Amino acid sequence: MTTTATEQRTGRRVATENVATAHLLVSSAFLALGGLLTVLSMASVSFIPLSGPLSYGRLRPMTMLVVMLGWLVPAFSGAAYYLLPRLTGASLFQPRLALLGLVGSSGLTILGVLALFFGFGDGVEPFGLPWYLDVLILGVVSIPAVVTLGTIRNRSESSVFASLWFVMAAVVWLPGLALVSALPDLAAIGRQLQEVVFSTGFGTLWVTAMGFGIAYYVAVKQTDNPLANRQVAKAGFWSLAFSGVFLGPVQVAFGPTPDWLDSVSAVLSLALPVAAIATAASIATTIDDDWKDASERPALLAVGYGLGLAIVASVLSVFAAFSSSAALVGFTAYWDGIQFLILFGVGGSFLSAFAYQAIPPMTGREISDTGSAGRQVKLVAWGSLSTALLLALAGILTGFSWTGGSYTGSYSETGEGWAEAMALPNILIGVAVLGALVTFLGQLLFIRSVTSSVTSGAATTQEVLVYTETSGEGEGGDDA
Amino acid sequence: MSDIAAAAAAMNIPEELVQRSAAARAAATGASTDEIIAAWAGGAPAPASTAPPPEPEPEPTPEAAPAAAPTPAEPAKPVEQPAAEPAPVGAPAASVPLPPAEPPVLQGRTEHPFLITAGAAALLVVALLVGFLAPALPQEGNGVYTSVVPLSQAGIDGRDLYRSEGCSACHTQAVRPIVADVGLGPVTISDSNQVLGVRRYGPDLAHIGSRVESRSSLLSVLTSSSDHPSYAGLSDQDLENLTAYLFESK
Repeated sequence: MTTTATEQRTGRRVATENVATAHLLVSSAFLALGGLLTVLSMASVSFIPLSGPLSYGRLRPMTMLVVMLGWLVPAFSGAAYYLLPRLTGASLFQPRLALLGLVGSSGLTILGVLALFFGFGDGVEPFGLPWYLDVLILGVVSIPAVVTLGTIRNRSESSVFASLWFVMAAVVWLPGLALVSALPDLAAIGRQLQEVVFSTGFGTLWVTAMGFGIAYYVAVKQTDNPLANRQVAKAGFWSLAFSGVFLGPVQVAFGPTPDWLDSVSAVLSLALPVAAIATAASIATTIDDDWKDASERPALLAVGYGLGLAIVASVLSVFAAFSSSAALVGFTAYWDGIQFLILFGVGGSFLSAFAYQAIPPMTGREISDTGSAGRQVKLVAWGSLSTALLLALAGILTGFSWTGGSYTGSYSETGEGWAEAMALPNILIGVAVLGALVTFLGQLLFIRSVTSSVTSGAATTQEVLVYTETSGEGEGGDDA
Repeated sequence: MSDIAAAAAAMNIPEELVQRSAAARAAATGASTDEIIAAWAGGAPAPASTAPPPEPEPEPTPEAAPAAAPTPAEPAKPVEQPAAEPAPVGAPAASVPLPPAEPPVLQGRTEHPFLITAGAAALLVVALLVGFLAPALPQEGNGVYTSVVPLSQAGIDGRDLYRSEGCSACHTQAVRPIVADVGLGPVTISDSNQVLGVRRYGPDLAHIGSRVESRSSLLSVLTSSSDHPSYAGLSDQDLENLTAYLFESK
């Protein structure tokens, strides 16, 4: 027996579409703030030593909070809320709860920035917030998991698309990582691992995983081609799952952590390039000849750049995983470069792909200026890539400088010796600020592109989802 | 044009797929693969089954594009599947013609999304157990070597300030057994009561107390407007605690 449920669900349908749009718009506002803070904090490291509430020690966690919790969590959650009904054939579970999550993440971001500004932080990166705010963050980032799993439970689509693997895994991984970050009163090693596991896990298991999910969806929708190779896609998915956490401990190799952890982390993080390359190969063969139209389709262009940057980030990470190179770049700007690339390059590109794919069907308005959208994608990609490479180079030079300086003893001094050892790397970090500025410019163009499209884009056919309730499995539930 | 090419063209699917599907159909009906392909190529009925058809075996399928064609809002019509005419049991094979050429319908293997989710979650749990929880458990020193620094109450208060001001954003308190850290003092070998940190935009401070002559030199770095950000805005008590912590870090 089949029944249709269009009329009675009209209210929920409207709310569902609004949920995704609201997430996109609100997160874009935090993107503007996060991009600005990022440029400011990088500049304060190299040539503008800010003091007081804007000292680097407080500015960095503020920046990470705005970028991660204010921008990337709601933006990718919004993408998930857009994809879920289309991939499962079921209406979004508890759209009001999803909106509450948006309010929660935004409110906690603002509250956290104020707490850090006034010196209430606890110093545990990336957010450095007191434990009670960490607990609230854990609650907020669990909401996408509840909404996603609730939606999947009501699915009428029997197939499990590749996009859905990544989405449903990422929404479960994120609260798991947040739980690690919220554990209070750990000893020194625990706090150190807390910082690196959450920071890198956020980049791999949330940003990259959600990004790959979006990429699969956009590639298929933009080209009307079926997924070329499901097995390769699976290999990419599970490789990411295996390697995501272990990139963190690699950063603190040779520290007081157990020796076996260095080896295990180095070996397992080797799977990260496998994930990136397998996903890129699977999507590239899916897109096939349609690549030639990418310059006219900003969503497709963004997918291409996102995949390319993901490969670069994974290769840079693996280079640093080997013990000799880990000793060289440990504790340097190298790892900040990788983080910048993943958060802004990979995350920014895939979110652009999502926005340019979703805005027309979601809002009934065309992208206002596809040329500008394409330029935005390129600015973000090249800006973040150049920033990352400069920071990575600065990190390598720093490592060599320390190695040479340790024989003279000059670098261990707090004054002149240190400044001398860091002179050249600091110049590179200063130049990297220019790359961050280019990225920021691209981010501002993205925000303009999104807002102008949503408010004044040319009218187009709006996608209306009609859910067909079925009593059996595998029928209906498709988009109408 | 060969039969297989004609069938592939008629169905708009690759020849390889036609071949596989025809082989499956042939196995089910008892006819030869060539006959099936010829039937598909010419649009003629496929040879009839000589045995009850087995359950269709699922074949792996490429992921279909998630359908979401933009259409005006209309109530969806109930999905009606035309019921297949059951073949009379025991009827002569020749009298049961199959429908004319239709593209084979490829059914994907049914996956359970919650199993995938559970697998992904389990993998994270294992990874966190190995990569975080096990190494983060408090480690006992052997009593001879320790990286725990004796701190006064002022030093403990100073460490709290060191954390809340985010000093670890730029400074580590971890000396590694590698060439780059030679000269920084004893290696941090076990769990410590300092703030290890993960980034070194400024010098390591694990044993900073042994590298400066007095607390006043630390105070001058903290309050002057040199390369280091000025913390002159802190209260005298806070500055005293912070320098106590650093000076006791030996």
